[in-house]
This record gives sequence, C-alpha cells and structure tokens, in this order.
Amino acid sequence: MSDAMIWIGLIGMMAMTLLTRSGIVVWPGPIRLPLRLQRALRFAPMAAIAAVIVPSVVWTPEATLVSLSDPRLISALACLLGWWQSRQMSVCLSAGIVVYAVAMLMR
Amino acid sequence: MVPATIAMVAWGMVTGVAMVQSGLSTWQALGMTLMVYAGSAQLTSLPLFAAAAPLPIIWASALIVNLRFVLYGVAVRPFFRQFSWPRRLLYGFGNVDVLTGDFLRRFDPARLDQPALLTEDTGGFLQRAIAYFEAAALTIWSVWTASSITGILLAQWIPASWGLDFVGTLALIALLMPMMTSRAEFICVVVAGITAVLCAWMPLKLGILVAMIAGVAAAMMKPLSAEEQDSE
Repeated sequence: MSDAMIWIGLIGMMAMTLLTRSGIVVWPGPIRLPLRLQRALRFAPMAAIAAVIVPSVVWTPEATLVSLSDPRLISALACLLGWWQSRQMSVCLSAGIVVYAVAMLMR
Repeated sequence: MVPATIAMVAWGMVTGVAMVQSGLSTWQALGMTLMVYAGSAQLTSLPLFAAAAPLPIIWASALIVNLRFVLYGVAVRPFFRQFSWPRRLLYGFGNVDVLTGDFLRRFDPARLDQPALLTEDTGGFLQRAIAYFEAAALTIWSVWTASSITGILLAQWIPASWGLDFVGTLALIALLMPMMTSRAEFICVVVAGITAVLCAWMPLKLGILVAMIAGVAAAMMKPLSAEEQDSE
C-alpha cells in the first residue's frame, strides 16, 4: 500500500472516531435509541474484532491452515487460558506475549 | 482510575510497537495515534493495512469497532448540553472506554433532571462532574499518547523477524474477552470468528464484513432476557 493511501486511510479512520465518539454528543436534538439498535451497537464491535483476529490466528500469510505448533496459535490459546484462569485483561495479554516470545525463540 | 492508568501504559506501548511492526512508518504510526485515538480500531486495522485491504473495508471496520462509543456518548451527553458544539466535539473525542464507566459510576446522569430543591446542589454536581471528566479525559489522553509514542520509538530497534506485529492481535484478544459478558455475546464472537475463517476466500476482504453481519445477526436472534425487556 502506498504512503498516500495509508494517510488517506488514517484520515478516514479519524472521521470514524469523530463520528462515533463526538457525533452523538454534538447532535443538538433529543436522542432515543430503540433497544434492538442498542443491542446491535453493543454486539457489532466484538463481531468486528473477532472477524479480524480469528482468521489472522488460524490462516498463515500463504493462506494455509496454521500447524498446531505455530507460535501464533499457541499464544492465542495462552491468552484464552490466561483469561479463563484470572478474568483479567492484563494477565490474558501477558500470558499471550510471554508464550509468543518463548515459542518464537524455540522455533 | 490508577490501576486502569497503569494498564494503559502497557496497552499504549503494545499498540505503538504493533503499529510500526505491521509496516506503518514512524510518522504514520504517530499520525494514527494522534488522529484516530481509538486503540481497538487502530489494532483491528493493522492486519488489514498489512494485507493491503481496500480503504472502504478498513473504514467500515473502524466504524463498526467504534460503534460502542455511540452508546457511551448517549450516556454522557446530558452533562454537556450547555456547551458550544466545538467543545462538545472535544468532550466526545475524549470519551474513551476506560473513562465512561468510571465517570458514570461517580456521576449519575439521572441527578441532572431532578429539581434543584430536592438535591440542593444540582449546579455544584454538574460542575464537579465536568471538572472530573475534563481532568480524567486529559490524563487518559496524555498517558495513552505518551506510552504509544514510547512504543513507536522502541519499535524502531526491534527487527521485523521477531514478528511482534502479532502482539497487536494478542492485545485484541485481551480486549475481546471482557466484552463477552453473556451467552449472546459469546455466540456473536464465535459466529463472527468462524464465518470470517470460512469466508477468507472472498475478494477484497469482504469476508470480514460478512462475518461481522453474521455475528451480530446470530446474537440478535437470542431473545431478550426478562430483565432487559423490563427496561424497554
């Protein structure tokens, strides 16, 4: 991707931040969001994050399934285990990073 | 607020490292931190930039990941009614995940609409709320920006062969876990993830959009709990 394209991408992303974070605060009129819409707004971000990360964990850049010894797969599982054991984001992330570092060194 | 701030230092540094290691230049990474100022949207966009996904897909992903802020905005906007729109724009921009929950626990918006006679100090309440919001938003912005920049500068010295771009994905997993508070959220994440893997063959990364829609649709099919129905 060219540098100019990346900058245009970043400007567009800034617009998305302003739209979602400031838009509703700037809007002068009264706002009533139906409950169904509120639920969709709550679900959408986690669907988006899952849709981006799951393929990047299980597909290699060459579009084949990762092997079970792949550092990415192992460290992602370590994140899940860390969360399951502690229910803390910091433990979840640290577990993933430590296991990823070790797996990359042993590769 | 203090533990959250410490966590944010680590978080900002991870995001800074991941931006540079995913292929953004130093200036682009700095630009992203200052302009976009939304960690989850930044991290989500990195695999897409690395795969040279079309810009509309990157924008749509950023929009969708940020949609939760609309709900936060609805919750805090009663406090800022009296201000001009440029100032409301700034308050909105600073209204990030770690702030909203903490702020609403301290300052209940319902108190704004009670007659001053009953609460005695509605004016004082509003002023304290705004002062707290401003101080917290500025602190969070400073800590996040400083730690991101530290991460960006550190990343200059890390060889790409270490594969640290993947740390961004690990950070997203850690962001995703606490969002799954009930079965509906769990269904949403699992359906979106599986659909994304199955639709990875689609051109232009369209599979990601299909997966997002599938995840939300699957979660919406789960009927509301009795408690939620009462609140409607």
